[in-house]
Amino acid sequence: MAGCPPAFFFDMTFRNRLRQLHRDFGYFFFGMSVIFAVSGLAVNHIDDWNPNYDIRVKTGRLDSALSLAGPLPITQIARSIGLQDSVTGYVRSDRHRFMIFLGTNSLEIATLARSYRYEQVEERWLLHTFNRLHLNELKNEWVFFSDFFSLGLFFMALSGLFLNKGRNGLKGRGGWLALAGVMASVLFIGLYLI
Amino acid sequence: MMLKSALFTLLALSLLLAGEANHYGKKLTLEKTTPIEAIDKAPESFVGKTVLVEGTVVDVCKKRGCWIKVVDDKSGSSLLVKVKDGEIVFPLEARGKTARVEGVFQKLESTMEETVEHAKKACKLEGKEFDPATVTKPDVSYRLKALGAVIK
Repeated sequence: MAGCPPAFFFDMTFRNRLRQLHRDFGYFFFGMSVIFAVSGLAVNHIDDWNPNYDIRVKTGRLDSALSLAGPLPITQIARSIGLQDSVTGYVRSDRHRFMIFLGTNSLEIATLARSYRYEQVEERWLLHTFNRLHLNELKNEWVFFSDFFSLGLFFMALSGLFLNKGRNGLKGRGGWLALAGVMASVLFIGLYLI
Repeated sequence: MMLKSALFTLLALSLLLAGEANHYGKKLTLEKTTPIEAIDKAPESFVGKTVLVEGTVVDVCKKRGCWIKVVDDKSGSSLLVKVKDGEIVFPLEARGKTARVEGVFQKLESTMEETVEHAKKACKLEGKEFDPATVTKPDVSYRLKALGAVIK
């Protein structure tokens, strides 16, 4: 029987052990799987929708009574637009532009055009956190844990192939489904990458 | 009890990691800063050179954190700082803070087709109608490819 897997590979004891390990890995990586699944969806559609921040923009013209000739009357400008945020700093961002920082929000003043652009930023905390984890922003120890998760996924993918035998196992329906999944990836590689 | 301890450990670990958020990428090696105004006035003489710049962050890439715009407070000269996607991720909270960035100064020359595409996208973003007559020559831009940064 050269070329065949050893007999113990398919006996019940081995399959049961594999099933137990597969189950435990599944429980342990439940959280990570949810984080990567949700973040995967979010990051896939990042060009259409910002999953990290909800940004609202308000633009308009400055009150004609405000003088922009001398030092910038920041408080009056903010008040005239109806902003309640406290000013945390400001800088000249261009020859005729000032950027006023109001915590995470910002107010850009174009002195020549006498216009403003107010950006109100609200973090989508949970999604942003998931994305930061998914995109490995934390580096350091997180890399080890996410490497462990990757190995765990690899193990679950492989062990999943051998959980059942018979009609629904690798030699039957399971095998065809696994092949279909691999072929779907091969199809995309063929269509777009070769 | 065990679950509580595990959650507490996770929370403590996350707080510990959050405290290190103002260093990005490689450690800064240069000590002397190059004024952004000097780069802005003669960009060609800095192309290919590694420089350290300092300024206020006025804008951040809102989706990927892959670039920041740094401004020299006195002159108003600005510099676009770009990083390789995912290598460094700048948070939006960096706006208004002071950044020291070390990197290689680059010149980017677009083709006419690319320039037209950029202009089309910019018009679309601003909700304006694109007029091809406004694009007369290929775009040339400069940026700092960041290796490391400290934001405080």
